[in-house]
Amino acid sequence: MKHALFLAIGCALALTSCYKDDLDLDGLTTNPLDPDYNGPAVIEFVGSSTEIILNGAGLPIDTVHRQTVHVRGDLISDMTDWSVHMESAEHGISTGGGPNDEDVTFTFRHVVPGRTYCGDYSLISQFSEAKVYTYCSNAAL
Amino acid sequence: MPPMKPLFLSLLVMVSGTLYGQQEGKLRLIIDPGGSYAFVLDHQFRMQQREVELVDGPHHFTFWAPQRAMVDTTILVEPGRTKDVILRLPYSAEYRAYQREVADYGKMMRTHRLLPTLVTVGSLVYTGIKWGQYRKAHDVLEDDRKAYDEALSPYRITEMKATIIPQHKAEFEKAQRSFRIAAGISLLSAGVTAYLIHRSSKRKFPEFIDQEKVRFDGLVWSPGPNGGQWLAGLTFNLHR
Repeated sequence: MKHALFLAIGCALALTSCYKDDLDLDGLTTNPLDPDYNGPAVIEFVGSSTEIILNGAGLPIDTVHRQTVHVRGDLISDMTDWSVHMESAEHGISTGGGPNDEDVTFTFRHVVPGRTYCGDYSLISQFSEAKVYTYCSNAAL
Repeated sequence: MPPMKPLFLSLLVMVSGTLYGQQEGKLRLIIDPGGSYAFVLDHQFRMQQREVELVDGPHHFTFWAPQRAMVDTTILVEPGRTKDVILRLPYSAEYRAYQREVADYGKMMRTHRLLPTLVTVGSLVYTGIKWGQYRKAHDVLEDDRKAYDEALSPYRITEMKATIIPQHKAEFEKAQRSFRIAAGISLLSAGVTAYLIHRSSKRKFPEFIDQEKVRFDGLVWSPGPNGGQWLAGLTFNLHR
């Protein structure tokens, strides 16, 4: 009888301890499409360039600053289409490239040479926005 | 002398009437219980039969059956007639006390064994159900993790983390708590059941000793299965 009782207690303790809540909500940041994603950057800054645009007569009509980013497509599932989205204080929101284009260039128009321009880059997937990466570069000629 | 002759004759008639005038009558005994009763006739003969033929006149009977009380009665046998004797032997006081003890024993067994065992089995079933819910709630959380890893919509991910997963975590905690309470109740009832069974196992089933049989057997001497014999002892004190 005693053995059966100890066996029952052991089974109950084993059953109680076999399932735990190991889903840490704060640690749930591994999906690259999560706005709280905390892993290798999905959107990487490649480089920037500044150019004076001339008209047909050779007169300067605008100064533009370009930022090129690269999307780590290998981190994202093949099951969905995505695109890169950039938002800046000066130029508002723009979407660059086509679906699933990994290398995308965004252009800031009417820039002032020597000034720093920042863009908030993010992936758009299924009509919603993933984590935002902010990259800044100087419009140096 | 002459007056003595009629008196002698009348005495002779009376004696011869007594010697030769007695006739037999029959008694048909209808006794409850029918198969196991015995009786002692006229304080001398132990018998066990359903019909007896006796000379007319009153005869004393002591009836007895296992578990029943002895009944003493005198029955008048009428010459040339068959008389039915219907009698129901009452249960003896010892047997009624034994029945009460058996009932108490059964009641004790029900309260000390059957009832706690049923409670324990019920609580174990309840614990099993709660364990199933607990496991299911855990599986839901596992599914949530998988769904998070495979989610393709940032909005959906945000919604999962803000509402769905916290709700499932709360349900898991509730299921876990319910299971622990049920397991505790089961353990407690199992312990109490084990204690009560252990305690009740010390009490033995009541034993019935038919004291009426002893008294009935003592009414007449009868040889046992191996016959009977008289023994006598003679002692000489050699020291004197």
